[in-house]
Formats: sequence, C-alpha cells, structure tokens
Amino acid sequence: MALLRLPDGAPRTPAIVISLLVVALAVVVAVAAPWLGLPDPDAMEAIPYQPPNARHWFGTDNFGRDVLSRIVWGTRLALIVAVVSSLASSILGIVLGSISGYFGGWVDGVMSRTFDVFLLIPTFFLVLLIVALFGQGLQYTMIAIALTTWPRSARIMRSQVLSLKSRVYVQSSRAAGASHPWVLTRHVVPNGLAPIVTDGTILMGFAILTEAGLSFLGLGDQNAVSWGRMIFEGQRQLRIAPWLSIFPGLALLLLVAALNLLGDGLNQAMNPQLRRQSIRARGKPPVDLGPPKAEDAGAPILDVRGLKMEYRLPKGAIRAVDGVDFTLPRGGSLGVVGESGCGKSSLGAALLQVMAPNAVYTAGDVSVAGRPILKDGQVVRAGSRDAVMDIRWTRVSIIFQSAMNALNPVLTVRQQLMEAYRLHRPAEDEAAAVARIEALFDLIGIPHRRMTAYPHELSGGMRQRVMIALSLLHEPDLVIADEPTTALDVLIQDQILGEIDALRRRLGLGLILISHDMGAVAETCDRVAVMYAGEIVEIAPTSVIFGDPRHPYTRALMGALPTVTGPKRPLETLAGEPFTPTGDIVGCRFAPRCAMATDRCRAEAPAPVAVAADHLARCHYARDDARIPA
Amino acid sequence: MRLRRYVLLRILQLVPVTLVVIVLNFLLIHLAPGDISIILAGETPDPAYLQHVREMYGLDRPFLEQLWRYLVQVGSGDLGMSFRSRQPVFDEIIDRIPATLLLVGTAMGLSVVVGTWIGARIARRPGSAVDSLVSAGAVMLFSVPVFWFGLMLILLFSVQVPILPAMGMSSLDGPREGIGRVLDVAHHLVLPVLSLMTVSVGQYIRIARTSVAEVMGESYITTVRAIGFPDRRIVQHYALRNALLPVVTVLGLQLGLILTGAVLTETVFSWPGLGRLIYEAILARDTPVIMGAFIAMSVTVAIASLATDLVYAALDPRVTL
Amino acid sequence: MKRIGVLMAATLVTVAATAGAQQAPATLVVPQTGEPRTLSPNFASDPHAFGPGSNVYSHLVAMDWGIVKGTAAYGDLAKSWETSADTKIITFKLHENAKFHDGKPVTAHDVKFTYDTIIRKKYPSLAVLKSVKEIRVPDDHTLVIELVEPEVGFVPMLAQISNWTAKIYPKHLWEGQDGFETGPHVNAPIGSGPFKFVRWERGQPVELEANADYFRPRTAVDRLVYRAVPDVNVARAEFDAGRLQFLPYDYAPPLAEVAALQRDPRVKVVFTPSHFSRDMQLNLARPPLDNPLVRQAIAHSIDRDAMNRLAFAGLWTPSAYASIESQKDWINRDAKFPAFDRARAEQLLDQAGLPRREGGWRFAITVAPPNFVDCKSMMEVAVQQMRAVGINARLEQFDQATWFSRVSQKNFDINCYFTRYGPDPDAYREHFATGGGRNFMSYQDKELDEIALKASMISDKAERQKIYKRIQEIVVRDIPYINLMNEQKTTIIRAGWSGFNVEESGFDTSYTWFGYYSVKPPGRS
Repeated sequence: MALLRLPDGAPRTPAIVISLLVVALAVVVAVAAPWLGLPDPDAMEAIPYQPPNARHWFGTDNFGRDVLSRIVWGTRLALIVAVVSSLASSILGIVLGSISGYFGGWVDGVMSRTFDVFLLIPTFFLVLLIVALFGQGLQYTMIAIALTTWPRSARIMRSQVLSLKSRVYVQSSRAAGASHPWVLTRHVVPNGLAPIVTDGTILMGFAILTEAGLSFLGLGDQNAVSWGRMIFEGQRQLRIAPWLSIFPGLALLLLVAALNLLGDGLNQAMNPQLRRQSIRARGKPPVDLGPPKAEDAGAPILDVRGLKMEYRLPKGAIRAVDGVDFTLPRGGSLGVVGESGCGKSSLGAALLQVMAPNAVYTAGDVSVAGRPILKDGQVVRAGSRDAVMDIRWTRVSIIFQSAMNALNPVLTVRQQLMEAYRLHRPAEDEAAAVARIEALFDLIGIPHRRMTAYPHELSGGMRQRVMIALSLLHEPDLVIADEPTTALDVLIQDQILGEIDALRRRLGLGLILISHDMGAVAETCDRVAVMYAGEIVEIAPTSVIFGDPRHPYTRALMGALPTVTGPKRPLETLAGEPFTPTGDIVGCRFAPRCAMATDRCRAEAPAPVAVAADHLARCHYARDDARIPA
Repeated sequence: MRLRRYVLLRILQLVPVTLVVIVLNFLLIHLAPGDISIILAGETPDPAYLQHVREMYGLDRPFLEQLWRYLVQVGSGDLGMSFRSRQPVFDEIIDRIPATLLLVGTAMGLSVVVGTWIGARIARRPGSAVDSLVSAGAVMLFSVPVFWFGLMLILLFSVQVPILPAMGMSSLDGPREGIGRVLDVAHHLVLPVLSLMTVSVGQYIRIARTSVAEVMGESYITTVRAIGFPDRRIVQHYALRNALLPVVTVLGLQLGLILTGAVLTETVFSWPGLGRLIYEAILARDTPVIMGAFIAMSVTVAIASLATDLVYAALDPRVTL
Repeated sequence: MKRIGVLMAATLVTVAATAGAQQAPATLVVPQTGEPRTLSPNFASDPHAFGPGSNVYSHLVAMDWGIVKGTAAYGDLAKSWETSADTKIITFKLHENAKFHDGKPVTAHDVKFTYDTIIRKKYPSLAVLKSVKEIRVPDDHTLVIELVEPEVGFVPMLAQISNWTAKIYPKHLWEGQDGFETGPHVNAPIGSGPFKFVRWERGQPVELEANADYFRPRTAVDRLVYRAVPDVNVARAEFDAGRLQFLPYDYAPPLAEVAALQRDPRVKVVFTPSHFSRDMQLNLARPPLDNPLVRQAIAHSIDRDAMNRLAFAGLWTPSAYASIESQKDWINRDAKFPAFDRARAEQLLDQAGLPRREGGWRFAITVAPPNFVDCKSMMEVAVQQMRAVGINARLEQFDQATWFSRVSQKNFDINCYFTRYGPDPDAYREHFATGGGRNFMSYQDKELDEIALKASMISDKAERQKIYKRIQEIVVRDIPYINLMNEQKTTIIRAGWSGFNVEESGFDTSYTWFGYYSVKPPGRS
C-alpha cells in the first residue's frame, strides 16, 4: 500500500492520511506478526477471561489466549482475503473489460450484457451456496467473492478502454501494424488502471466484510484466526467477556473503514469535479441596520459603490468584481460588456447576492431604491432576514444565460411560475396567479397550452421567453439580463432582444444587459460599461462609447464589433490572454495586452479619469487626445 | 404505449439474469463433491424419494438434457423440497417473506429518510467541518460489520441497560392482535432495524449530500434563489426532489447488500425471516433451501433493479421512453 | 460487570415479587434451539420434536436422569414387568386407567400398533426394536414382547430410546395412515401424557396445557410452552428478564460465569452427571494411528486437568477410566489410560519411528469435533496439547450432519465422541465390538467380541461385572479411544422452581429426559 503513489494533486486530507496510516499499519503488523514478541495466538497459557490489562492489552479469551495477539494474526487473514480476492476479481475484470471495450461491436454488446447480469448476483448468497456445496474453506470464499465482483472492474476497464482506444497513440500503433493483444497490454490497459486500483481498495473492504460475515455464521475457515470467527466465538461470552467481541469488531471496522475512506479519497482525487464542490468561502459577517427605511422615491433604482467580490479557490482568490461603481436611474438601461471571464456575469450575480458558494464580498455598498442591501461588503440584514430578500424579484429580477439550465427540469413551466408567483403573493389564490401568468404569456407570445410543458419539451427560444415571463412576474423595477440570448441562434437572438427592448420601454423597466455582443448593447442601452479583469474600465452613454471610446480596451472591443456587411470578427483578434485578477496587482491590468502601454502603465494602476461629466475611463491617457487614434 | 413497450422490454431483460443464475446453480451442483441426487433431495433417508428425484431431474441422462430439465423445473417455480420440513422450498420461502419484508422495508425506508435528511443538511455547507466529519462518518457507517454492530446493540440495550428486546419478533405472552400486537412487534423491531440500517444509511447520506450539493450548484437553483425562495425551502423543495433520483437508483443497486445484512441481522436477533431460514438451512445442510434462496435472492435483486429503473423513469420527466 | 449484576438482581427481585403474588396459571416456558419440523416424534430424529412429544405422549417404559443414581428403567404406561429366565420373553402389565386426550383408554393394542408400525416402517427406534421377534396382546392391559435372542439390556434400551422416539400413539387415530408422517395428527398430536396439545403454528411457540385426566395426579404446571430461541445470549436475556423460568443445558452459560451464579441466592445452578463420557476416538484404519505406540503417545500428551480448567473452568470431572462414575457397579478403577507425561509421549513417538522433522513436526493429523460447545472447546485444547509433543494437529469443523456422515463413513483421523456406558453396560458392544454400530474406530479384538456377546446374554450380575471389568482392561490396553471427561450438564433454574428432570427432586418421576411432569412452580411444592 505504501507503494501506491497518490495521483498528482490528490488532497492529503486527514481522512486519506489517517486511512493510509491504518492500512500501512495493518500491513506491517500482518507481515511482522511473528516478530512482535506477542504470545502465540493459539497458546492457551494465560488465565482465561482476563479483562484488558497491562499484560494483555485486549484481555484473554475463554481458553486463556491473548486477544491482541489473535487480532494481530487475524490481520493476516483479513489482508490475504482482501488482496487475493480483489486481485483475482480485478484481473478477471481487466481482461474481460479490455477485450469487450477494445473490440467493440457485437463482442462488446454480448460481454457488457454479461457484466450487467453478473453484477446482479448477490455475492453473499453465492458464497453461502458454494460453502454449503463444497465445504468450508478460505479458498471458496475468495473464489465466490471474485466471481461476483469482477464485473465492477470489467465495467470500469471497458469504459476506460473505449475512451483510450480512440487516442492518437493507440491509433498510430494500430496503423503501424501492432497486434491487438500488444496494443491492449502495452498501451490501453496500463493507462486505464488507475480507477481499477481505486475501486480495488473498496473491493478489499467488501471482501474482508464478506469473509467476516461468513465466519460469523460459523462457516469460515476453522483453523485460521479470523476476526469474524473471533466475534462468532465471543458472541457466547458476550455477557462475561464483552471484550472478546468488541476488539475484533473494532479491528474489522478500522481496517474496512480505512480502505473505504482511502478508495473514496482517491476517487475524489481523480475526479476533480467532486473536489470543487467542497469549497465554501466565509465572507464578512452580516450587518443589521435595523428595520428597513422608508423608500426614497428620488433615489436611483440601483446604486453601486466600490463593490468587490472574490472567488476563493485552493490556489488563491480571484477578484472577479474589483471595485465597481455605477448608478442606474429608474427606467434607465445599462449595458455591461467585456470578454468572457471579465467579471460581468459575476457582477450580475453579486448585485442580487446569488453568487457561487465560494464567492464572498470584500467591500462595497449596494442600495436598491435608496435601501442598502450591502454595506461595506457586509450583507445587510433587516431583522431576521437579509434585506435583499425584500427586493428579489419584486424590485429586481434576473434573466440567466441558458434558460435550459436556469429552469428546473423536473417541474413544468406552469408549476415553476406558479410557485414563484405565490411565494411573493401568498394571499392571492390560484386563479389570480393563472391570470397573471397567462397575461405574461400573451405579452411575450407563448401559447397558453405550452404552460404544462417541461422545460426540455420547449425550444430554446421558447424557454428564453419563459425566462423573461418569469422575470416580469412581479413587475420589477429592474431586470438584469445576463447574456439572455447567447445560447440561441441569430434570428431568435434578435427577436428576443427586440422583445426585451420593447417591453422595457412599454413597462418603464430599468435594465442591465450583460453581454459580449456590442451590437446588442448598442441597440438597447442608454449607457454602456466596459469591464475588464473585474473593473469597469470605461463607462459612458452609448453614443459616446461607440463614438469616442477612450480606453484602449474599449477600442479593441469596437474593432471586434461585427459590421453589417462582413462576418463577425472574434474578440480573439485581441492579442494575449485576458488578465486574471489575483494577488497583488501592479500597474494597469490591460497593460500586458495594450499596444500603447508605457512604463507608467506597468508601474501605476490608473484611477478612473473623467473624460466628460458622464464619461469615465480607467486609463492614464484617457484625456490625452494625441494618443487616441482618430 | 411507449411506456408499455419499455416496461415489457425491461421485464424481458430479467430472463438472462434468471437463466444465468439457474445455470450457475446447476454447474455448482455438478462441480460439488458428493452424490448429486442427495444434494438435490437433501439428506433424506427415503430411497424412494431419492429415486423420484433422480428421475425428475433425469440424472442418468446426458448433461445437456439434465440442464434443460433443471431449467424447466426451476423455471416453473419448483425449487424442490426442504428435507428438514418436507415442505416445498417455494412455500418455505414465501412463508418467511413477510417478516423479512417488515425488517428490510422498515430499515430501508428509515435509511432513505434519515440518510437523505442528514445528507441534504450537510450539503448546504459543503466543505465545512461538519460536512467533512459527517461524510467520513458515513463511510465509517457502511464499513461497520452489521452482525458486530447488532451484538454491540444487544450488549448496550439488552444486557447493560435492558430496555429493548434482543430477539424474535414478538413477546411470548404478548398480545396477538390489534394495536398491542403492532406495538409489541415494533418494540422488537428497534434493534434489528437499527443494526440493519448501518448497511445503507451511510450510502444514502453520501449520495444525498453529493447530489444535493450538485443540484445546489445548478443554474435553476440560482434562479430560485434570485426569485427569493429562502434557502431552507430551496433545499427541501427543489434540491431534495431532484437529488432523490440518484437515491432511487442506489436503492435498487443496494438491495443485494441489504439482503446480506438481513441474513446476518436475522441471525443475530433471531428474527424469523428468510435470512434465518437460510442460516438454519446451512446448519442442517438443507441444500434445496439454500439453492432456492440463492435463486430467489438473485431474482429479487434483478427485479429490484428493474423497478428502480421504472421508478426513475416515472420521477424524471427527462427520461424519454 | 458489577452493573450487570445489579441490574440482574433488580429484575430478579421484581420477578420474584410478582411471582409470589401469582395465582394465575403457572406457565413453564421451555426454550429450544430450533423449531420442530413436525409434532410426530416417532418417524424421524428431530431434536426439537422430542420435547413436546415426551410430554404429550406416554411411553411403555421410561428413563430419566435418575439413571445417574442407578435407575435404568421404570414403568410409564407399564405398571410392572417380568422377564423370563432366558431373558427372551418380557411380560408387561399396563396401567388400567390411562386415557388418551380424546378420552379413549390406552390399551396394549396401542403399544403393539405403535411398535409394529415402527418396525414395519424402519423408523429410528428400530435400532432397539429390531431385537423383537413378536409382540402379543393376551388382554387389553397385558403386553408380551418376545425377543429373537436373549438380551439383558433390552428394557433399559427400550426405555432409553423412548426418550426420543417410540412414543405410544393411539391406534384408533393412526390406523388409516401409512406411517407416522401423514394425517391430521402429525401436527396436532393426541397422546396420553401429562400435557395436552393446545396449538402450534409454524414460527410460533408450541403450546401445551396440563392434562386433568392424566392417570397420575395432575401436574403442577398449568401451561407448557416450547419456544424456539436459537441464540444463547438471547435465552440468557430472556431468563434475566423473567420470561424463562430455567435455562436448559443447551443454553448453559460459559462455565466461567457459573461461580458467580452459584453465589446468587435467586438462582440455583444444577450440575447433572450422565452415563456418557467426552472422549476422543482414534481411527485405527489410518496410519500412524494404527500404531499402538502412537496411540499411547497421544494419550500421554493429553493433560485432562488443563483441559478441564480451560474448557470448563475446572467444573467438570476428568476421567481416565474406560467407564463413567455413574456406572458405579461396573467401573473398573484399576484400568486407566496412560497419564499425562509429555516426555514419555515424545519418547514413544521417537520409538514409533516418527521423529520431529523440519519445523518440529512429527506427522500431521486432523481433529473433527461435532458441533457441540463442549466437544469443540475440548478439542481446541487437545489440538494444542498434541502440538506440544510435535504432532501437527489441526481442527476440522463441520456442521452436525456432515460431521456425523463423515464419522459414520469412518472418514476422520481423530474425532470427539460421547461414548455411552449405560443404561446397561452392554453398551460396550455398540462402541467396541467388531462391527458395533458406533465402532467408528474400526477397532477389533477377538477376546472383547466374545466376552461382550456372552455378557449380553447372561443375567448373573457378578459374572457380568467380571466380564465388563476385563473389557475395560482391554480397551485401556489398546486405546481405540481416549476417555477424557465425564459428561456433565449445567442447568440454571430460578429459585422456587423445583422438580426439573435434571435435579434429584425430578429423578424417576420425569418420564424421560425431556419430561416436565414433576416440575413444581414456586409455592406449589
């Protein structure tokens, strides 16, 4: 076990470390049993029924045998069963799984069906039958375990081989004329082994438990010292010598748990997806500002000051929103544009406090209609609930990127709208809710009968319309639309955008449109904010942004704007990688990609420069007309 | 109509499983040392019955014909006679099913409820100390040898502090009907159910945790959060419902393990179910019963896996039939 | 441990308190390790049918643990019997007032019918009844059994087999049946014993009640219930909880616990000797056990005192005689197996040409005890003791049925056995005569064969004593088996209850080893 190299990046969590230690200890103890200076496990020399004491740490049994010594020797049996049966099972599985996966076609069809069938045979009952027919013996136990568990590794191997065999080196070996078995043993199998080893550890635990269960039924090997048999024998002495049952059980539990935790840990290590979930960041404590103030009718619908939010990752923090300021008047509309990863979607989520669990605020104030929901990076609480709860959906709603994922797949559209409606208007009856939903469907042009559909039964455009209907459910003052059209084809995109724009004007909605599509923003918004590396690098009325961009990045974006005649040029025409805001940042974030960067740019971070009253740009040279190409 | 075809198709898939199990059984009988007719008849002293068995299974015929006869015999539900009770094995098994069903059903039901509840709770704070602890605890739980745990429960609750009965399904002089009977059986059910639950509750905790955590990361959960649903309601109402799907899948896959646990639990607690029958049959070398039980258990597990698929299909509208 | 004691005391006190006040029916619950297959004990050896059967049915003659005081057989339905001079004809006089539970009288015809059926169907008691040439019924209450050959031990053997099978069935209810396996009374027995059948459903306890019309005074126990309790710990918990009035010897607690129980005034611990021993049989057909030196060496390697201490907490009695203490009239105290002496054992094995080789082993051998706790414990110790002199002994464990079939096929090296020395010493023939039914060792000795046969046919006690003492000398000389311990049963009874078959107050009035006729609940003695 000690030889088992942890896969790169495997977390050395306490669980894994402890279980490795336990398993290593078991191996050492099993191998070194004869030299540990313990009494002979079979010697009946001590006084029987001694409770644990200094001479006999785990006491003695009814024959005066040392329990500790028996447990130590029992480790041997446990490990033999574990290793032999899981090895036999894995080898069988590897061979059959590789063949099945490698040859594919009908071979695979027949073989993988066979795996499924064998997997359904309950191991223990087969073991019982074999023992009943053939007699008691360790070999039968191990054969039966291998016979019913091999399909596990066969399945794993099969899928590994399936994915591996398409890889280049396998293909090229075949092309070079290598034989099937050679390719299998040389290239395919070694590369697919890792998950088998992981599963093998769990299988070992299973084998040990199976043997113990059998011994407990009195059907194990009679001459070997087995933990299960010790418990079986101890059962009779349970009242006067409970230690006879307790200690072997603990040993069993310890080793099996260690194997399982190890397998589990390795699994997580090799499956990064499982790992990522386990990060949750803790931000500043919430702040209670007392009962909500009366609303200030004159205040802008949204006011954001110095908002900072970061994602906590194992490698460090990413400052996805890093000091954003802007104000949106009632009925106003703001476009937020930038490359993917610039923080614009994070900003949208941060406004409504619906970020990922590993995101935290570090600074900033956000108020909606004059009422604070974030103060100095602390979530504002009003009484027992977060202040944001009062504005979610009733004042501010949000349309997410992909409506496929943004709608619950196991509920119908109607159920979802209904629940959302009644959440905020619990007093109203179902009829009122239906009336409202139908009115909204009319508004955005969805036939009423589609209400009872599940999201997956709708087309992409339909789903996006449902999302819009959902966002309008409670007549909010502000809708944040986060890439509402990305997943749709171009025709539908225009249609949806047009609808949003029309609705906004008709209903007097405020709108924040988050998009990487400059064209869309140009048509819909009064003002545009350009984001780069977590910061707003330029903000100005739409006409100014398009007519007189002052930040080099904005200008680069303009260059990527599709023209009416030509094809859309991708943003990638901008040289270099987008900047990831982590650690200490020196200088301008755009400097590494900026064609006009100076030493000052690389040394000193630029503050927003007021080009005009409503035009800010985060560039040292924003007002330096000479540096702005015509 | 499509549903019916799907169900039919899945039921047809039971056939190969049953076939493999019966053939395996047959091969084992032939590989085992000793007289096949004695294995099939059990150690009965009656030479006439032995002769009858020989003829029934065609033991003097060619191997393949024997196999065919055996398949037909078992396929028609005739699992032979128990030599201990001289009753058909099939009836013996049927007789014991209610007790086992009560035990296994209660344990599984509680495991699902408790496991999912705990799993969902810790999933709200993934990565927290409580989460790590409970997750490791869950792994420990399914590493617990169930029979040992049963003994420890007996030690604690029947020997040290004798508050719970450690054996049987009812008190000797307990009420035989009505609510009294139900309470009596329930009282006897506590310890066996607790120990049988260790087999599965850990699994459910983990599965519920993983899938709730996964679901909580889905966009549609962000949507309902943005809509303003409180966290608790989101977990209970949305995440849990979606996270139940994997739990259902595991329910079917776990049955083999749970039935194994049931044999051991019934042995420890003298619960008069199928497990106990198998144990007694093994002690008495009542091979027809052991073989019958093996076939019955395999088929049960196969049916459970089928049922799982069907329930899954019913629960998840995305599964197109 | 202390805590357990206190709790137990508390329970027992409560139970005692309630028991004192009871005028409710006295119920005796008998735990059994398994459920009966049927309630017809005569047709098969079903250990869990003997209990109910022995109390529902009567027997012609009976025997109980009184045998350890010298009572070999006494009458149940038989009031008295006379044996002819040549011991071939036995005439039984039956009780005239015995009635079946359906009210019909029990007559000699019922006895004849039962025995004839057993012989015809070759049921288990044939082992004894095969000696019967003819059964005659001169009148309703006289039965004459004529034997094929003179057999002194016939009546005691008949009494012994009646413990398990050979229960007297009512002719009028079974006549139409082919045997004792089918018909309405297989699981709803009607007998003439001290208890009547009440009800039994599979999976539920078997319930009996006192038979008010019994031909002897009515039993003091009102209800007798047989309940399957497969687990010893569970039985113990039930006993402590007051739901069991006694723990039969099948559930004997580990003997190490007995010392503490003996000090407890609320329970009594009863040790019952028997006429069986616990011993090792050596398979003489298998080398090197065919070598007398090796058998002597094995005998020298066994330390009975250590075995007694380890396996039985020193509570049994080791025995190096080829007999048993309870057979006072027959035991030969001058014939003893070789005593424990490891040096001598090693010397003999060297002499036998079996020196210690690589790893220190001389030869390998397997030891297969039956699935009894006492045998298993003893053999675990014996294996270690043999290993100490260089014999590589290993345990082989089988379930009861396999063990017995292997032993019957003489497929073993060493086996733990329970040699029987009574009720009549003719038992030696079964174990040691050439071809004896339990001579699994393939032992042969001409002299023994001859004198044992002779002893079975003569009734002069002094002459027989001489022969059986000689037989013991021969056995100890040849060592086909090595006696180790006198068998002893341990029963735990709640204080206040008495008259159980295992204690003196129940001897000779229990009507079989499984009978509870003489049991007295508290306050009814």
